[in-house]
Amino acid sequence: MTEIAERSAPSAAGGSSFWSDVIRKEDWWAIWIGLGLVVVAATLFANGQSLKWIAIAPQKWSQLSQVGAQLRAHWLQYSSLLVLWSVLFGIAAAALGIRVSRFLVSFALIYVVALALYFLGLWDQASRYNLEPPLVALALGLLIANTLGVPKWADAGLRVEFYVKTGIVLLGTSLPLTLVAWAGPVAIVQAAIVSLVTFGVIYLTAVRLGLDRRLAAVLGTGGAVCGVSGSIAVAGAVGAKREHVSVAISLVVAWAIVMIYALPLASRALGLSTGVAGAWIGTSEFADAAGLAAAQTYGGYAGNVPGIHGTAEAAVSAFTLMKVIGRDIWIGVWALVLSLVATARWESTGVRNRTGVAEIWRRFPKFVLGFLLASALVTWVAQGHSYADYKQTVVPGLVAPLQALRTWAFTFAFLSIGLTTRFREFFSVGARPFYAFTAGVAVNVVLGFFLSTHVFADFWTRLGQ
Amino acid sequence: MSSAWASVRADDGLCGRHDRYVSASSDCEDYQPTREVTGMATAGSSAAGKASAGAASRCSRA
Repeated sequence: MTEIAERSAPSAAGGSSFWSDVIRKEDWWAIWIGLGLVVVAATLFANGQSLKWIAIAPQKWSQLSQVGAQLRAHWLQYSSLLVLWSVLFGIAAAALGIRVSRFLVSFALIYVVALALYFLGLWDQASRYNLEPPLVALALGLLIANTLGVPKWADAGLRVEFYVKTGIVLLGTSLPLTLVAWAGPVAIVQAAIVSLVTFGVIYLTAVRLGLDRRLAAVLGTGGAVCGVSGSIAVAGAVGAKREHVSVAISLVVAWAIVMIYALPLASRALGLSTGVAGAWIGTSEFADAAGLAAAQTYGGYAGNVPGIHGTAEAAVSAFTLMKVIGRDIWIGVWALVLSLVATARWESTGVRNRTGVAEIWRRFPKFVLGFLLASALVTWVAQGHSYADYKQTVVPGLVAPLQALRTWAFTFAFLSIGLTTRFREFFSVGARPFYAFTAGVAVNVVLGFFLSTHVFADFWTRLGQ
Repeated sequence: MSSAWASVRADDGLCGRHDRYVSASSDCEDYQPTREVTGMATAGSSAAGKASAGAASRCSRA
């Protein structure tokens, strides 16, 4: 939170240029890295080769000795992958002004722990003991951060959003553009219903409790649109106070962490299919990273927990469609509308907002462009292949290595969530913001469940089939 | 679970006087550039300037 509040890149009056943004913003670096890997993978595939040597991933195991055997057999690949990630993320870190030496040391530790978690998730008893990597990563991170503490130098490598955005760009390769076009409108309609209702509940409850309207708006977008990013975007658009953002961030993060555990457990108890659960998580989680942790957890139950139908990919795909396409991309619209309302209807703060339509693009989460381009590229490569050929050739040679790299990126993010969360920051929120936000959470969860399991159930069940 | 370098932040800064977030396209009524920013304006002059978070001014702070 301190970093968000105090760090802002120096900019010329009126904002930065497009060309400086593509170097200074992490969304663009997520695109360069993610799309760069996709282009390299596609080029290799077109020449009869593959990225899979370096996109190494652990294999299922039952005896600990098998883990040792895998590591001995593939140590060069695991080491090369560490070098690859270090180079890619290190260049981005340098461009973003992060101390590269600290980043590289911190990232190396994250990689080693992520490797251990990746192996843990492939233990054939992992689902039985609920040792899904995202949940273990989060719990481990929370435990360390709130007991031993995390040294300051390690913060450099804990880049939750950067890793998750890179992962989402890579995730685009698993979703054909045709599927995005087909499912996108449904996701947008469902997400719009839930977002509008949730925002209304939080905002009106907050105002009724006597809270500042700008705080109410920041809480509302945090709960209804896209979590911390939504809160920060609207804070700038309406001229919210710094403490408003701190309060909203604390509430969003607290509830997001609760939902990482609650939503998959509830879905499992109800025997929801993976697509339906993914859609529910997409409407009722508050942050991309947290939602992916929950969706990937639930996807891990597919094939391992009796009664849960669907594929692992369907959970992550449904979540991504709902959260990224249904909610994230609209943040600029929310910021514009609320800015206009704040200027016209709310008391003056001494700050003159001069927001225009350009706000929609300025605040657009650019990494989504990378996601769509990655999807388009793989769709283009796959055309001309029969479905059987796609499964036999394109998936193992092109898509699967990129999926492995995606899982790595997400694991880095899941570990970073816990390691950057401090429980003590939750206690300074205050009762009234807590009640307002929690009212929205309750409505959000129930409405999201109803829409996912009843109104649009058939659609999400068929996803990925 | 967010970032200082995210696109959604656009180029928001912090108004040090009012302790409020300010978008790059907005400005603060009390903004006063200092000698370090303009190289010409005196400390007492006032101008309707942009509240850039990176600029040294009486309104905003880095």
